[in-house]
Amino acid sequence: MAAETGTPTTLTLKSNDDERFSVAESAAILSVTIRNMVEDGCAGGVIPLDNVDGKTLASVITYMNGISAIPGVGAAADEEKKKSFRDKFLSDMDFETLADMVLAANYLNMSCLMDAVSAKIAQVMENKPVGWVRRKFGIENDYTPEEEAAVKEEHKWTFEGVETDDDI
Amino acid sequence: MADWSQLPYDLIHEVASHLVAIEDFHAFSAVCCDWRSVYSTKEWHQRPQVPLLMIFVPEKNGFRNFISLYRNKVYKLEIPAVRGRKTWGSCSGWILTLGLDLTIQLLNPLTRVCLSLPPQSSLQLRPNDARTPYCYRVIKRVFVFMKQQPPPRNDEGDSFVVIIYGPLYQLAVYRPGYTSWTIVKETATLNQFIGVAFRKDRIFALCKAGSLSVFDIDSLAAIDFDDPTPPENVKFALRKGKFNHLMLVESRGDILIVCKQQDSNRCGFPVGPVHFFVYTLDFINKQWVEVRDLGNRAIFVDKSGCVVVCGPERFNCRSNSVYFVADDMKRWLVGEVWIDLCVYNLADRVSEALGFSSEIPNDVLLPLWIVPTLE
Repeated sequence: MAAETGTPTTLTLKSNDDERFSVAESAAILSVTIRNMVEDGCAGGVIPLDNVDGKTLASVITYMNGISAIPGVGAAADEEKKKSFRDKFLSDMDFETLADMVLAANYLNMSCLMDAVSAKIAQVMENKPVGWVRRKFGIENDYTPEEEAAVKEEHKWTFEGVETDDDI
Repeated sequence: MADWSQLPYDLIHEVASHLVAIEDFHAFSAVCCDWRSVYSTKEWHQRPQVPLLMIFVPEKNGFRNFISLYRNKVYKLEIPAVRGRKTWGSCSGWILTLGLDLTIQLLNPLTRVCLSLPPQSSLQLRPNDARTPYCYRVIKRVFVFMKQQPPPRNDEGDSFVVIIYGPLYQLAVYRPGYTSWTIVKETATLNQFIGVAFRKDRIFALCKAGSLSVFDIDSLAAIDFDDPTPPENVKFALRKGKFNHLMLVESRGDILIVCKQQDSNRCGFPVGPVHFFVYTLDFINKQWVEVRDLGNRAIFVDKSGCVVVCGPERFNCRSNSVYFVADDMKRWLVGEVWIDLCVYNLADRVSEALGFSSEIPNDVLLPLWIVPTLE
């Protein structure tokens, strides 16, 4: 166990498409899921992550390494640095990857990453008409015309003068 | 390729809980059946909203235009419940309406929810004859407060209404369940009130002499309060009788006075630039202190009072600013009444028109700020 020897431990994480990654334990345990697996005795072996593919896992590991490299918890300056890192990390990410990231953050139980990715996704849909949101997220309109009319009627003022399929 | 439609409900909720503006929540709920399910069944924390400006449409009775600064657009809505009724804003999501029969209602113009309040006759004023024109001018100002902030969703039980009414500018309160208006008995000398705010279970009321009275919300008993001297600008407005230039408001535990300043010409019409001064009550030293920087707040002023919103940038509005309605004096002289929505920057003390110039029917039906709510 790392605590006894005092040397940093490295873990091997395996994605569902069989890619393997080496990560410092101190970074990996940002994920509560991984931390629980280590405590259950997976350390030294390979930690299988069945719900994450290699590409997404690589991104998550970049995140883990970046955040754990910033020392200190609670100090304002360090929180600022972490926020800057998160913002940069997400701004480099394309929209499609965000869906994989939010699912991975959920599975790996990483609340700060989850929070940041959710906020980023919400930002995409802010101040946009309904039709635009559907197209962007690839969501099919499964309302019947009557149902859709009822929805618009309920919050009539927001939809007044706007067709839900309008682009900006 | 991401498949957003496969996202579990909990994650959809997690994402949508980062939305702030009500307009975005409504759009979210209309995307598809699954998202609507999440909207209907999950709990949402409603953050303070930037209000919409409600303007009377001259050519269409019963219609109102609503300016959304967030979306930079104007919604036109039919509001049948205001036809034939006199209206007062309350700097909240509600307007008070008075019918020819002197019945009083509280209407949310956006959601159309309409509540009946005790009639004006329960204010026990004489004369009660419905035929006198005076009876439509009894109510002076209206305020709606929530006992609990933020308000729980779907709960009107914690709202209450305070009105300033009558020739003596007294206070009366309505809370859900009351069958008549409850008059607040002022034990001190006759104070005529011009503004009301609510903070931590206490009603604060500013009177024409510039002093503050404080009442407990449950007992309506007056509470001893060491009165601070009003600031010079406030005293000046009081001396000139410009009571509608002064607004008392609560924000984040502070009690503020917002003081509008504008010169008048010999005929009493407002001329020249508009300025705003904001003062906060220092409870410890019992004095008003000028606030030169509102920080991350914006104030929205209309003739009935004002709304203070924290974090206005999320709504495409500016911090440290006062949004107000300016009258266009030049056009009044030719019989037209035009208003413009303007924003005043407290830092450089300059106003800017926002390009929503509108004609209104007359100078009585001035625009009102309406705060949207989730339901």
